[in-house]
Amino acid sequence: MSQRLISRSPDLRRLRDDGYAIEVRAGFLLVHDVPYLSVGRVIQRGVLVSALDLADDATVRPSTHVVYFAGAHPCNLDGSPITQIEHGSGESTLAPGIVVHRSFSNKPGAGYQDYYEKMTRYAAIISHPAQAIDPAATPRTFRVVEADDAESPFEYVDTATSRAGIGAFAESLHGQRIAVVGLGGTGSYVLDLVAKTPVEEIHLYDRDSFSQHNAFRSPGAASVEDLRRQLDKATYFQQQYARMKRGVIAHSYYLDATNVDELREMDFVFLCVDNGDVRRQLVESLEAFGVPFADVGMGVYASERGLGGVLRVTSSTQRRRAHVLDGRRIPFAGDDGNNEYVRNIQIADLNALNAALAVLKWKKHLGFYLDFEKEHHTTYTIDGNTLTNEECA
Amino acid sequence: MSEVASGHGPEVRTLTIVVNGRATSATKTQLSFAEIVALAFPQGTTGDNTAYTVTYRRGHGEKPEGTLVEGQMVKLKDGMIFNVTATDKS
Repeated sequence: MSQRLISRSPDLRRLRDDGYAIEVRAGFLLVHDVPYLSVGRVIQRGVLVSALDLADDATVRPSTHVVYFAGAHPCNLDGSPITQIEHGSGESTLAPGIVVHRSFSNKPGAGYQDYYEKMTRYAAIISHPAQAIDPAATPRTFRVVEADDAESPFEYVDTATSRAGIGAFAESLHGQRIAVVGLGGTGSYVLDLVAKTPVEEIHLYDRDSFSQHNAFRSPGAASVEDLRRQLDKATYFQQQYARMKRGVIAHSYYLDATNVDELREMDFVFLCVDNGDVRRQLVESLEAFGVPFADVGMGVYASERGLGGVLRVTSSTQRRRAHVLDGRRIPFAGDDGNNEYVRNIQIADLNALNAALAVLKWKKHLGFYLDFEKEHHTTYTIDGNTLTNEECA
Repeated sequence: MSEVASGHGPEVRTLTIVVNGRATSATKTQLSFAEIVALAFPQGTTGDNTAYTVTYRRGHGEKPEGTLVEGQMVKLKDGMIFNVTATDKS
């Protein structure tokens, strides 16, 4: 998307046309080859890096005047450090491959109107002393930086991650192959959350059709036309999420013994099925494959004073698996078993919370979130607003 | 309701516990997983009890909240709250 972004943004176009070696990567604007004087009055070249504020794949006015720099501390002509723009120092990884060493602060009274003004201002401040020694030391090199469009996991740039400066953590989610088995209320919310991460592929398994009641416990707002199309859930959600996320793949069938091998190559599987026999079969297969997974489920009942119940996330990873197949944490009873008195009550907010707890667990498993407990069985009880952590590894 | 303790320990008074939103009297000092499931579903269950997730809170000091699995017992406390559901819907 970076070429498109540059062509749609007058300020970035102007930077490129003026000969600055710009690159847009992981939601950041990089200006390469900016000359400066280092200690000892040696001319070196560094990289100015700014988070990008975007709307509709074009830049908007910068929300911060601060800029990052990959390089040593720039000096004045007399060899003393330029202290006026000092802001912060220390190495930091903003995103994969974007390592910076310090930040600068120089704020015009009215702030910066656009990225052209911002980046040329900083480039001028640090390169002027170098140019005084060597007039050829200019940041306008007219060097072309290749775009990495084909590798993007999204249809447009993830500026939420770059603005927050958490690209290095998000790296743990790159390249993952994820399966969501069952796209009812909880499975569809799992998809909604995983689709906002830079995973490589999201495989959707469900043969059911997307019908009216599904619309009331799925993310987004399905139109009447959407319902009339009577698509299966896998296809419906694939079409919805392909607008933003690349690598969403629909499998419009159920998984059973004949095709469960398809899960063998997954890095993580979310089991969001209702049927106990299917759940048992999938759990046994995933255990045999050694594929980590999270099984979700809820049980909601009507009492005289409101709806109550419990949400559950039970996971199995290399760290801990025994609690899964002993049958005591995951309900394996069939639909026609002891569940016959129970109505199928599900509510969108409960589906969303159950999904969020499962996705949190997956992100902890990958090291994205801090994790001291390493729980593999979590419940949320509605009437007490209570979370429990058990089966800790 | 008679105040007969079933088992060991000193004289037991009747406790009120809440199971799936309903207040229930208990006269034992502790209950098993299966007994709690039976309190939740007085009409009976047909399948195997491991289909149920049991959570509790407002329990005894050392572990006031948690979950139970088949075969476990839990000490009761007046006002203790249980939830028993088959957490199998998604």
